[in-house]
Amino acid sequence: MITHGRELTGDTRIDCDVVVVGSGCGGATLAMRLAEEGRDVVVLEQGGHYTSRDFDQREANMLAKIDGGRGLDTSEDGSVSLTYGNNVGGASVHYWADSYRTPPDRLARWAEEFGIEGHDLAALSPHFDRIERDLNVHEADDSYVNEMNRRVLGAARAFGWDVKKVPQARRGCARSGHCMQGCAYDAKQSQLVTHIARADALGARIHSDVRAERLVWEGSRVAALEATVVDRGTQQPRGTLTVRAKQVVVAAGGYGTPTFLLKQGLKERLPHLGEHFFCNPCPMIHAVYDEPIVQWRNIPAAWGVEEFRLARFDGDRYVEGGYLLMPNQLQPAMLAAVLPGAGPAHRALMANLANLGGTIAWIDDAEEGSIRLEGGVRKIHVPLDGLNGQILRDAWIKQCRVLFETGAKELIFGDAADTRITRPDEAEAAVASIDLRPSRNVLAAPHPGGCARMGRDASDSVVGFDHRVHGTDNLYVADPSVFPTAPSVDPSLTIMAFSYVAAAAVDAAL
Amino acid sequence: MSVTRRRVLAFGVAGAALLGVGSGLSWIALGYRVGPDDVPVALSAKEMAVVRAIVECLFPAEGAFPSGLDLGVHQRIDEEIWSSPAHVRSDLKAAIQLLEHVPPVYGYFGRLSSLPVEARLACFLDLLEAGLDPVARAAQALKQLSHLFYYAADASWAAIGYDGPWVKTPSPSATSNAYAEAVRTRRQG
Ligand SMILES: Cc1cc2nc3c(=O)[nH]c(=O)nc-3n(C[C@H](O)[C@H](O)[C@H](O)COP(=O)(O)OP(=O)(O)OC[C@H]3O[C@@H](n4cnc5c(N)ncnc54)[C@H](O)[C@@H]3O)c2cc1C
Repeated sequence: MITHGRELTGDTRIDCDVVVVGSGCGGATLAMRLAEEGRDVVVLEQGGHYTSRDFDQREANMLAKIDGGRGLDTSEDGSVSLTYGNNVGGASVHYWADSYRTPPDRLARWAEEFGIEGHDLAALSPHFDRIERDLNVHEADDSYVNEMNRRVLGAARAFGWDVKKVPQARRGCARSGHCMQGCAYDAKQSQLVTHIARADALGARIHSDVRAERLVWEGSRVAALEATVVDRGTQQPRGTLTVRAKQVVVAAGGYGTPTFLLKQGLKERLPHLGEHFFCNPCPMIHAVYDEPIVQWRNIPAAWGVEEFRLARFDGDRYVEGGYLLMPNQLQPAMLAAVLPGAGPAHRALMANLANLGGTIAWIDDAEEGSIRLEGGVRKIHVPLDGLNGQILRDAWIKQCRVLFETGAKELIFGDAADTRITRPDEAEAAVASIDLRPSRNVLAAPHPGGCARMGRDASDSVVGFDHRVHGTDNLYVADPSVFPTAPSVDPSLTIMAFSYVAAAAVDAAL
Repeated sequence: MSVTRRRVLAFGVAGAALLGVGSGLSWIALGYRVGPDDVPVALSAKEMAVVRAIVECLFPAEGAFPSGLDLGVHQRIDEEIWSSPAHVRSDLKAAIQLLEHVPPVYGYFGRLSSLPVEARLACFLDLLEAGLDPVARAAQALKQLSHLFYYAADASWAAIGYDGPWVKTPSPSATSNAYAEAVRTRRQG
C-alpha cells in the first residue's frame, strides 16, 4: 500500500521487519526483494508519490514535483548543479533509462584495488539478468534514433570510435522526449512502475511525504527510526512517524544517505563518512546547425560513444579519456537556463531553437570530493581541478571534434565568458581558455555516490561487504554511497544489482 | 539582513531570489514600487521590485516574444522562493540585494532597479560576466531562474517554434496550489 503524508494524522507508530529510507533504485529494489521473501517491509520516502497522471510534461511543474531541491541545488561553491530525485521512485522517475551493466574491468578494479568481496561479475550477473528482464532492457530500433543521435553516430563512426547502442529500460516508448519530466505513458521502466509496483503488490507499506530524521540507539543497535510527516504543499511538518524495525536500511541516494548518516553524529566513529565523493560532473556543448535538429523529441541517448570510457595514461601522464560521450537532450526552459548570457543574443539563440543540438559527457571522477554538514546544512565539495580538470578539458575537445563532424556551424560552451567557436582548429585554444573556477561553467552532477563506501573496517570505509555500517548491529546502506568509485557508466543497474546483494544480507540477518 | 561575503558565497548557481517575510502587501516601500497586480509572498516589496526590474529588461515584448512581466515571471520567481528551503530562500534574498546595490562598483550610476531599461540590461550583462565571484553567481542565479520560468510558460513557445507538451492539460504542483492560496489570502487581507 502506498500511503500519502496527508493520510497520516498526529503521531503514528508502526512495527515491521525492515524499514527502508528512500525509494529510488537502491531502496525500491531492496524493498521488493525482501517483500518477495515474505518480509514485512516499510519504505519511507520524503518526496511525494506521483503517477503518470501527474506527469504533465511541463518543465516548471515537474521540477517542483520530482526534482530534489526543485532542480536548483548546487555544490557549496556553485561548481556543479546537483540533480537528484525527491519522490517515490527517486531519480529513476526523471532519468534517461540508459541501462548499463557495471563493466567487468570496473568490478575487477573494485576487487583488486579496494578489496571488495561478494560483488564481482559472477555474483552480480544473475541479478543483472533478472533486472534486465524485469525492466525490459533492450537496444532501441532505428525509429528511436533522433536527428542528434543519428549525427553523433555518423561522426563517431567516421572517426572509427567505439560507439554502441545504449541499452534502454523502456516498454512501448511514445518518443515524446519528456523522460526528464517523468513518463506520462508508463513506458519508461522507472522504479515507480517496476520495483515499487511489485513491492506494493507484495504487501510492502510505502509512505510518501515522510522524512527520516533520527535514529534511536540502544547500544550498537538501532531501536527505532523517527520521521517527520511533511505537508506536500507548504513543506511544513504535519505529524510524526516512529518505526520500530529489526533492520534499518538507508537508501537515500548518493546525496541523501551521507547527509542522513552525518546528522546522526556518526562521523567521529566513521571517519570515511562523507569522504570519497563522486558525481560524474557533466560538461556539455551546444551546437548551432543550419538545419532542424529538434533535440527535444524521441529518446535522449540511443547511441553512446564508449571510446573514451576509461582514461588513458602514458606512464603518469594523462593522455585522454575518462568519460562517456552522448547526444544531449534538453527541453526549452532548461536549455534557456543553461545557454550563456541574456538579452537579445540569448533571445536570438532561442528563436533558433529547432536548429540547436549538442552533446554531453559524464566524467568518471578521478579526484574525490566530500559532503559535510555546516550548521545542519549540507555542503558538497566537488573538485574541478587536478586530473578532473584535465578530463573535463579532454571531454570538451572530443565534443568539439564530434560536433563539427556532425555539421555544426557554431559551438557554444555555455561558460561565463560565453566561449564560442566556428572552426575545428579553434577548439584547442578555446578549451584551454575555459576558466574552471567555481560557477564559471554549467555542469550537472547526476550520479552521486561514494560517501559511505564499502570496505573491511572503519579504518578504510563505512560499511562492510554485507552493506552493514561498521560497529552497528542492524544499520545498512543500499545505494551508490557504498561504491568505492564511480562505475564509469550510468549507475542505475549497478545500484540495483548491489541492492540484490544487500537484500540477501538483510534477509539473512532477520 | 546584511549581505556578508559568506552568505553570498553560500547560494546556489541556479538558485536565486529573495525573501522579505513580514513585509506585508505594501506596494510602495522605501521608494520601491511593485506592480498593481503583484502579490509578493516570499519577497519584500523592495525585492519584488528588483526582480520585476530584472525581468522587465531581460524580456521586453518584441515580435512574437511576449513580455516577461505579462507572463508573470517575477511572480513565479516569488513562488519559487516561497517554496524553497529556508537557507536557499535567504541566500537568494542576499543575491537580490547584492545585484540591486552593486552597479556603482561597475560604473553605473544608481541602483539596478532605478536604471533606465537599456542601461539596466547592459549592467545585468556586465554583472553576469563579473570577475568577482559572488556578483557573477548572483546574476547567474537570477538569469537562470528568470529564463527557466519565461520559457516554461506556454505563451513563449510560438516565438521559439516549440510545439509543446503532448499532454494537453497542465497539472500544477502541490506547492503551486499552496502558493496560490497564500496569494489569495494576501489579496484579501
Ligand atoms: C537527469 C538524470 C538522468 C539520469 N539518467 C540516468 C540513466 O539514463 N541511466 C542511469 O543508470 N542513471 C541515470 N541517472 C542516475 C540515476 O537516476 C540515479 O543514479 C539513481 O536513480 C539513484 O538511485 P538511488 O536509489 O541511489 O537514489 P535516489 O533515486 O535519489 O533515491 C533516494 C530517495 O531517497 C529519498 N530520501 C533522501 N533522504 C531522505 C530522508 N531523510 N527520508 C526519506 N527519504 C529520503 C529521496 O527523496 C529519493 O527519492 C540520471 C540522473 C539524473 C538526475
